[in-house]
Amino acid sequence: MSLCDQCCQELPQYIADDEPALARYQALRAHLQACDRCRAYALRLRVVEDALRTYPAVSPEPGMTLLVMRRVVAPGRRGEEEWQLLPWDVSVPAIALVLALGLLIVSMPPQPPPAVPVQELERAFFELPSTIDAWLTPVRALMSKDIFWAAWSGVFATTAGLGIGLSLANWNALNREGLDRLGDRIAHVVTWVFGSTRRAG
Amino acid sequence: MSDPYGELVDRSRRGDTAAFAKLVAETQGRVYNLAYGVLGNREEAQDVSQEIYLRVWRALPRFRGDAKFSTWLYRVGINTCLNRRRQLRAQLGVVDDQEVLRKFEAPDGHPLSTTIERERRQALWETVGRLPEKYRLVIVLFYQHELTYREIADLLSLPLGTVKAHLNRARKALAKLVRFPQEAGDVPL
Repeated sequence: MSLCDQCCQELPQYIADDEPALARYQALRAHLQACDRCRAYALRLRVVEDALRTYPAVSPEPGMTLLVMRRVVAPGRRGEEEWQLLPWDVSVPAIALVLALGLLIVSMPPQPPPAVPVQELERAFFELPSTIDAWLTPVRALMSKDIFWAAWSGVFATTAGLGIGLSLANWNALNREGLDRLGDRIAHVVTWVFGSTRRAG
Repeated sequence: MSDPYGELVDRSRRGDTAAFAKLVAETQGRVYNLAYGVLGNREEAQDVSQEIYLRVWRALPRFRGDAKFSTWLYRVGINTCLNRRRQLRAQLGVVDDQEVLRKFEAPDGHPLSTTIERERRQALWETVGRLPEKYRLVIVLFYQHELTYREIADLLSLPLGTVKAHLNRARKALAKLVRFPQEAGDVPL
């Protein structure tokens, strides 16, 4: 990395911190004295910094408190959140996962497999692919083998990947409130279910 | 932790609407500015500010006071604004992408290259509104709301280094637009 590149990396923070006389910036200061191009860049950053420090506040419309209070005192449920549709970035992965699970359940055999003695577990493990193969016989009868496996694997991998990927992409504290609300909803449902059970008892 | 709004919050939590009205009156400037900073539209900011207070009022009984009220208010505010922005994104035609920052350009006839400081300052403020969301948000919180790096990091649950990096990238992008009449050539970035 050239001195100019290094200077350009450090300059924004240096200018924002009011150009502190710290030893670690000694090389930067020396370079600024010697390099016209970087000095000009520092000047531009100072202009930006000055403008941002005077970033103006805007005033809300008069009567905002009144408008808020009108909505607050309107009949509504306090302490409870309104039920609403989940946003697409939550609902799409959720639907995809439900579909994937549904597909998995549909592809299960109608009867549970026979119990396997413990000593035969290892053999059963190696025979698992053929067991699964047997489970899928009725489904496969409807489709050709290649198309079925391609479709099944593709749908499963895509939905699972989409679900996990989107969930992770949205996993940050901005969703913390949403998680709190989800927790409250679950608690609300649990309370309602147990309350109903107790009343019924 | 002493909270300047502690008493008003306690009374509001118990259903005292007069206390809540006072709380709204004392904090509405910050909430409105946050909404305007994120949405860049006065009417939307006004509407979202009301929505924020409605959500705060409804959720107040659950507010445990683990954090300061103002921190909690900011968090509710940011969530609400970002949700609204997501809904508006298609209408506003915003592409929130690193690419936007790299190819950041002033609109035609933008007075960033003039030497008149007042105009340049005004133009820079307007340009902040065109920054990608994550950069604009940290700019607004840092410069307009005067939160510290740590407070912004906590509020957005980002590492401290990421907050500084976002701010520095935004400063660089804005600096790229500033030109002085005697200058020529590329601006380093």
